[in-house]
Amino acid sequence: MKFIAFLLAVIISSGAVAGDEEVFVVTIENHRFNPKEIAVPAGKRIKLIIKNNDSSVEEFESYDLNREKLVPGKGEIKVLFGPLKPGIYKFFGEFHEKTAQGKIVVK
Amino acid sequence: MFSVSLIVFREIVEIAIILTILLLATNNIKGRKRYIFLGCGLGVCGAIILALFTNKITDLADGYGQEITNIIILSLAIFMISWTVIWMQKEASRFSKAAFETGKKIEVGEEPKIILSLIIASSIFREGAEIVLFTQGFLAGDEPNLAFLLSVMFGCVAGAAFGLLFYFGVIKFAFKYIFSFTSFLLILLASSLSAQIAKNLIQANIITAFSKPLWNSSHIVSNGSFLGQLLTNFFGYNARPTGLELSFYFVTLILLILMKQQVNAKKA
Repeated sequence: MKFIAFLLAVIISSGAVAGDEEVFVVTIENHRFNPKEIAVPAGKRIKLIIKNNDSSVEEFESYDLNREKLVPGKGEIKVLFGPLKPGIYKFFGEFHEKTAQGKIVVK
Repeated sequence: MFSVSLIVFREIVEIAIILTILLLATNNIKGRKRYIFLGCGLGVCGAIILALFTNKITDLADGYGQEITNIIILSLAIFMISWTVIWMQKEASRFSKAAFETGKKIEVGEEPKIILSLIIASSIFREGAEIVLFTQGFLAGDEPNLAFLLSVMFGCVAGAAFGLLFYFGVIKFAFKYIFSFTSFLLILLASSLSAQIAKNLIQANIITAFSKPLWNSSHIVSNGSFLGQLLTNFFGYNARPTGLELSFYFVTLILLILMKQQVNAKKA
């Protein structure tokens, strides 16, 4: 039992370390991401802030990053991920998939 | 406009799969209809409320309100599905092959029927909120038009047709095994919802351990494809699963199988 409690404490506290991530901002306007391509460093924890300037809701989704979150109209969300290996990680807006496409380039 | 139908279709398919499995499982329960409609009604109302408060929910819990809400709804759904699996096993003799074949309806207490309503409601709650938001966004911002509404309706109809096909397919071809088949599907469903809890825990930055993907099978079946989506809905398929998601999945799966066997052992 003690071991489980210890393990839980370790797991939960591992999430509590804040502020050591690099922050990037992307805006949604007319159902497009701006910038469409974001270059981020490899091996770092990344915080992506997504601001929605449209009045309609969007859903930020990325199979590559395993993330899925609604972005309210005129609202903003944050998505944390990484550290990532170098490569290209695509994301898109599920509600306007035709135009809302973007990628994160990890170098 | 085809893309609009596709999005709605995808969400409806998710609801349809859960609803169909439950409809199959409760196939011969007397008076279940009212509770199914009750569940659908509650789910639709809940979805609209959830959609209205998306802004507020998003800002809760230091910006992780959406994830926390998902975790709560998913946990309740898993609890209720597990309850149903165990309950079905306890009542197995009444759900037996012979009972199904006679087509005689069986009487059950209020509790299982209320749980049935709540499971249906919780699935519509989550997926339905997305449909509401998506539709609302279009109607508010972009040119609202008939073509859009028709596309939404077409997506709904296509999704419902998929559910009906699945339902009658099982009734026609797997009726003999309907009891073991549905209880097996419910266990898989609970396990994949459990993996979704893990995903939300990682996304909300509550747990960061074991959060790296262990492999990538997206070149074989991508999560974006229709096949990938079906596999996700039935088995919790994820092309890039993390250690945490896998552990949640298999712990739930094994626990439920063990609990089910315990019921059997007690009866013997």
